[in-house]
This record gives sequence, structure tokens and C-alpha cells, in this order.
Amino acid sequence: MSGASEVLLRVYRYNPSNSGKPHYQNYRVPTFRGMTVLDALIYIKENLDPTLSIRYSCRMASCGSCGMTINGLPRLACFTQISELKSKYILVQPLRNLPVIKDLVADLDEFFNKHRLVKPYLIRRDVEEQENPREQYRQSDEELERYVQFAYCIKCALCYSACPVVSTDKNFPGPQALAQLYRYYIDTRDEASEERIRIVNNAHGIWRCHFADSCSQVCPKGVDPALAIQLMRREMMFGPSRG
Amino acid sequence: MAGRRNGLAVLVEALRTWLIPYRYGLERWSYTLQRISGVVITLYFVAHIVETGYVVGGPSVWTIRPDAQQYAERVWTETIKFLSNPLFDAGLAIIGFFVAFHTINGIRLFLAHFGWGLGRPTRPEPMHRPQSMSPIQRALFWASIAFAVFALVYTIDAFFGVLA
Amino acid sequence: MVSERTLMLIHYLTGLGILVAGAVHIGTVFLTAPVKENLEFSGSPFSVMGVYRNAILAASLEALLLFVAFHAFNGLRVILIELYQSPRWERAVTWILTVAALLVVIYGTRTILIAYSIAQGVA
Ligand code: SF4
Ligand code: FES
Repeated sequence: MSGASEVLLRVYRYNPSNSGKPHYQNYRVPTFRGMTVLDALIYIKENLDPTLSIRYSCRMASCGSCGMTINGLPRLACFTQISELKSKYILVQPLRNLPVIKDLVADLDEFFNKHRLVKPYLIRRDVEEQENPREQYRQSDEELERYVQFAYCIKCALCYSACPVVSTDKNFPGPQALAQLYRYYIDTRDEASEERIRIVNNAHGIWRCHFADSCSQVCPKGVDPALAIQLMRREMMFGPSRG
Repeated sequence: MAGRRNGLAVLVEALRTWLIPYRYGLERWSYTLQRISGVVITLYFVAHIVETGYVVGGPSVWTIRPDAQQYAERVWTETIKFLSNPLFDAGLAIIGFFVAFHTINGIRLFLAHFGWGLGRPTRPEPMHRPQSMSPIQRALFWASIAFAVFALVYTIDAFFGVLA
Repeated sequence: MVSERTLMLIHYLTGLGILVAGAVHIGTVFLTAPVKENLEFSGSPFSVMGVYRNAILAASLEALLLFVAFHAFNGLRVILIELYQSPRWERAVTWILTVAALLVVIYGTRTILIAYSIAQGVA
């Protein structure tokens, strides 16, 4: 992409406070080599339209706050270069499957609540030991490999937004929460296997995953939530196979 | 996109998500096809039970009629007459396609749902392909498509003799 | 209440069962009459009903009926409870589909029993 060229951004606008209806607004943005969609949105906010709302922080695919729908797919705005979209026309919308707070900012409350639901922390039976630790929990490399991939999750909700089950089943925990369930379930330091199974063994739990694999398709960190869910389902069908 | 959950909107949203797999990759296509084929086969199944029920006497008969054999012959001939038009032939060809697809893709999902053929967790490299999209799973998906197309061509040929 | 795990386990197992019983069903239908004619619904009802002379084949048809009925109606249940969520909707879906599945099974079983008796008479 040459330095002097331009792209057209078509941006979703919605402001609930002045009872506005959702609509789209076009902006022409000059591009530079290596420019990301987030750069373009910041350019709009600084030079063209300060009323545009976006959420971002790290600009390096680490905080997970800039997720949005770019040209039809959920992506991180800071991790999507304009050149990789191979288009002079970029459609930017908020994440699907979530309520919109304003413009491109989706409300992640329901997503975080579902994450909380699966108890994303180690649970130990011995409370006394928790308060007065006597030793370290040892873990072999191999035991670490079982879950470390799923611990790369940055809670960006891209997978949640891509999931066809989440889109209609509001009680389904979603790929991120289920992957984290497995991440703690398979951790040798965790002692709450039965409790974790109980959390998702219901009509809107893990069984509603149909392996459409859209979560793994869009995850920017290579977490592969779909893999975690299938492995969890194996555990739930054939009983614990932990070392 | 703002939150609203009335009946029609729910249905439209559901159909949009279920029926438009575009952009999300092969597995999403398999999800959509598996769902559509499941519903279509269910309809066919019920119709098939009703149709075969007529040959032995229809819904009101619960014992063997004395004239069972002649009756069966007659209903059979009538049913053939009723069903022998290109619309039903094409319908059956589509059923053949869906049954074949649902079968092989069902085997694929059966294996996948229990983590077989998916690969193991690793440390993700940037832009790596997820292990859940493993070559063996992909191969099974294409096998289901191939088998379904075979069934479709076979059935169409049986009815319309296009290959002869 | 049956747990969701049990329901889905049965769903997977009936799927496998259909694989076997379905193959037998399609195979026998294709063998009892020349394929093209059979697809055209020609011949006589007894070319197909001949299958029922064999008690084991008749039993495998009954098994196929049971498997497909569960697999199909459980699949519908899954789709419908994913469509909309409320306890009332879920209860209604479950009951209506259970009754529908039972009706199909009873009616289909009747057909199989009568066809079996007729085939015995013809033999
Ligand atoms: S699993 Fe991936 S897509 Fe989902 S929240 Fe975590 S990092 Fe984002
Ligand atoms: S700004 Fe932090 S992930 Fe994009």
C-alpha cells in the first residue's frame, strides 16, 4: 500500500442518550504503511469527528478492549492492519452478540459475568493451607502444556461475538468461559473437578457447543477455545482422566 | 444491534446466524449444513412413517385387514402415482444429499466432540492455525461433502437418467 | 429429570445405532428390488415387504425407528431451546416433542407389526 492512498471507513454510530437511531457515517482517512484500523479510528477522533466513541488501551493486542466487527468479522482494531483487509472500503461495527453502549463500544458485562460463573481461579480444599502456605505446588512441563495455551486468553470477547450459539442462547456460557473452565479443570493444582462439571452440565451448558469453530477462527491469541471445549466434553463424558 | 428481544427479532436473528455461515470458515459451513440437513431429514422421517402407514391400512386400522394384500397393492399403486412427479424426485435427491452429508459429518462431529483427531494443546505461535481445525477433521468434512454429492448425482441419475 | 449429559449420551449412541440400522435398511431396500426401479417406487409392495419375512430384519427396522425418533426429536429440542430461553418455553418444547416422538414411534411400530404379519402370510 502506497503512502499517499486513502481508505473509506464506514462507521456504525449509535448514541442512546440523545435517543438517536443507529446509523452509519463515512470518513476518508489517509493511510500510512503499517496503519491499523485503530490508528484510523484515532485519526478520525482527532481530526474529523471528536464525538466518535472507541475503547482501547494497549494498542498491542494485550488488553483485549478494542474488539469490534471489521469487514464482517470480529477482530482487534489494534491488531488488524488496513493493508491486510485488502480493501479501500472498511466497514466498522461494534461486536455482535453484545449490547452497545455507544458507537463502537460494546458492553462486556454479560461476557465477564459468564467468565465469573465458571470460577476462573484455582480452588483448593485445604483452606488452612491457603492461608499459611507450607510448600510450592509443583507442576511438570507436561502438566503445564495441558492448559497453558488456554491461559493466553485476554478476554477480548471476539470468540463470544463470533459464536452462533451465543447469538441466540443467552444462557450459554460461550467459548471464552468454557475454555477457561477447562483451563482450571485440567490444572493439576485445582481440586474442584466435580464442582466445575456441575456448573456446565445443564441444558444451556457445554452440550450446546456444536463445534462450529468460529471462536477459534477469530481468536487473536491462538487460544483455540473450541479445542478446550471438546476436551472438556470428553472429560465429562468419560470421567476424569487426570494424571 | 441495540438490545431487543421480541419474538420476530429473535427468529430473524436466529435464522441469520444459523443459515449464513459466510466468512467463518469450513467448520461454520458444516454447522449450518448439519442443522439444515437434520431438520429436513426429520421432516422426511415423519412423512415416511405416515406414507408407509397407509400401505398397511392407514391410521384407523390397527389389525390386519382380511383383504390386506389386495389393499396394500392398491395403496402402493396409488402412492406411486401420487409420488411419481419430478418435484418429489428432486425432493428425494435432496434428501439423499442431506442424509449422506449428515451421516459422515455426524461421524466427524462424534469424534470431534470427544476430542479425537483434534491435536493437543500447545503454545500458540502468532497467526498459527488452531489445532481444532486439524487436517483429519477437514478431510472428514470434505469426505462428507463428496459422499453427499455422490448420493445427489446417483439419485438424480436414477430419476432423470442424466448420465446415461 | 434426566440429566443433559444422559440425553446427549443417548443422542450420540442413537447416532451410531442409526449408522448400523440405517445401513441395513438402505441395503435391504436396494437389494430387494433392482435399484432404479425401487427408487421409482415400482414393483409391488411385497418386494419391499419381503424384508419383513426375516424377523431379525424386522427387529432392526423397529430399532431404526426408535433411534431415529429419539435422535431427530432430541435434535429439534436442542434447536428450539437454543432459539429462545424461558422455563415455560423449555417445558412446553420438551413435552410437545416427547408426545410427538411417542406418537411417531407407536404409529410406526404398528406399521412394522402389521407388515410383519402380512409378510408371514405371504411367505
Ligand atoms: S479465547 Fe481468544 S477470542 Fe476469546 S476472549 Fe480469549 S483471547 Fe479473546
Ligand atoms: S488496544 Fe489493547 S488489545 Fe487492542
